[in-house]
Amino acid sequence: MKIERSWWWKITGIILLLYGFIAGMILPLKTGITTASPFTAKLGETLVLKSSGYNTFYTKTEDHRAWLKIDSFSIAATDIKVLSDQSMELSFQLPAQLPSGVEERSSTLIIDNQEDGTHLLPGAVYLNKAEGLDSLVAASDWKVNAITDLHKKKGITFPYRNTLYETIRNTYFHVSLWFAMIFLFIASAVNSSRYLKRKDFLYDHKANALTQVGLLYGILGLVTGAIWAKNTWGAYWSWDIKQNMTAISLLIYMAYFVLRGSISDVDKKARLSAVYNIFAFVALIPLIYVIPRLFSSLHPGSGGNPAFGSQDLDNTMRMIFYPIIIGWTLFGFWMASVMYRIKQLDEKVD
Amino acid sequence: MFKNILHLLKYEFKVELRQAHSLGGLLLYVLSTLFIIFISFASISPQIWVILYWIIVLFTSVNAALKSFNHEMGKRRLYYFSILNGTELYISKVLYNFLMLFFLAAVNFILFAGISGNPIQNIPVFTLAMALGSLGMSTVFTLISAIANQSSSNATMVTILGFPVIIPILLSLVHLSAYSIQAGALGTVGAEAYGDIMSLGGIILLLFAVSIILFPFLWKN
Repeated sequence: MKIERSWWWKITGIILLLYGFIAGMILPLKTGITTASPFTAKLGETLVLKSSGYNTFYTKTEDHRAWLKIDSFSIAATDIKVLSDQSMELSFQLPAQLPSGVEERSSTLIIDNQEDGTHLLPGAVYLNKAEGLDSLVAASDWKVNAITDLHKKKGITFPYRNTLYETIRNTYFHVSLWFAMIFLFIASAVNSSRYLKRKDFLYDHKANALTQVGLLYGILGLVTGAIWAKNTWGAYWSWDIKQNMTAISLLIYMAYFVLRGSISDVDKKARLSAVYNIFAFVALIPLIYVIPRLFSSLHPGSGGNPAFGSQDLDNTMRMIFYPIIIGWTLFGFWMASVMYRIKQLDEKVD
Repeated sequence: MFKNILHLLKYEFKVELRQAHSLGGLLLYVLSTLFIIFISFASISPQIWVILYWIIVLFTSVNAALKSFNHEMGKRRLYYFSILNGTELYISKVLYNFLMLFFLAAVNFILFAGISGNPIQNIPVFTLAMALGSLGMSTVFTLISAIANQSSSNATMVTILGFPVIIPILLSLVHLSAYSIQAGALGTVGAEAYGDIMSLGGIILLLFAVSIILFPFLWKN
């Protein structure tokens, strides 16, 4: 039994894709704080902070606690007023001085309750120096390591990131499509080298079909990336080096089809396109992995932006991210196998 | 093997010198492009200068590479095929194209610097960029022109197939040349540009290695 005709891996691919789509779209995000105003406060005064939560249910529980934190020092909120499920009014009695030995002035807002778990906003409030009050209140108002007994949100959730919000789900589509595309191009290059070795047109058709599906995945990856960029970077296309390089790598594979179309002799077509396919694949490696490192980019993984760190891809996401890569890959191979079998049947008819 | 390569190289030069019009044509091409640039730009900043320079070299190299395999058609191809293997022919072609491109790049540099002022402070680094650039372009375009030569539309095919592939090399060259704009001792600039030189050399080596493996398949049919 040939592997192309067996069904188990196609079913596996479909199941993994469905699992990825459903779980990736349905599971909620962790709670977070979108905004807190005002941004600045003067030390030594009472700060009334209005904070907006994301995915939170403040009215469901009463055990709210909140802190402003700098380094390991923190002050607790003296009064917490729940306005709605998504908003709160917090009152802080700010000490007159920063904790001794601390230069940092922007504080992190932390909110905790048993329903929503702990959520925070880094750099929420910038603390300005008080005027003439330096000696009045002791710095001991700041508590060291006072934030304890934190809750965790129950259930399975995806990480919450400011600026990303719900678009973090695009990891399962944009990133995984690119992984699958690379696998398809590798398989295509392998088939091309097999053709050069054995001169069997079967391998040429396979390489052609795999490249077609790979190109489709590449275009989808570019489009999903552009949509993601619109939501996080502000524009569909910002001439970022990564965007340019991916567009160019797609041009390489489009040239492959132009080359195939320009040659009428079957043997020559197969031979030349196999050579170009292998060459293009090797040329793709610097394009994707070397050149983006030379230039600054907005894309994660370059210029100090996080890539697949523990922050962006937690274990819950991995549970969906890895299966969907396999799902896309198997689905791509299925599409390619259908395409090249159609091609073979066409030739038999002719 | 080395003897054969040397022989081929010598032969290429002899043919080139006898058909002086083709080299003259390339020089004229460089000159007219420079003239157009000189007329269209009132003043050129160093960054733009470097980018324009590499674009001119790129187009010159496409034109130079186009005729790489013009002689090896028909009966001569059959004769070559009986006495040589593909690797020898490819290496000799790459070496020949490299020497010619390096010459053209140098001429281009002298003319461009002469016409619109020379922003390059660090000649050794720039010379290294020129050498690596001509090596990379000759590596890529020799293989691409061998492919395009066998397809129906030669000239368009070289640009369609070659340009996306050459972009990594071109971008690295622009990046590397940016170091040669700033003044400074060779040692310090060289140390900064070290990563660029290494990555560019790596890319060229990778493409050269894969071309050597692939060329024999193009050669025999």
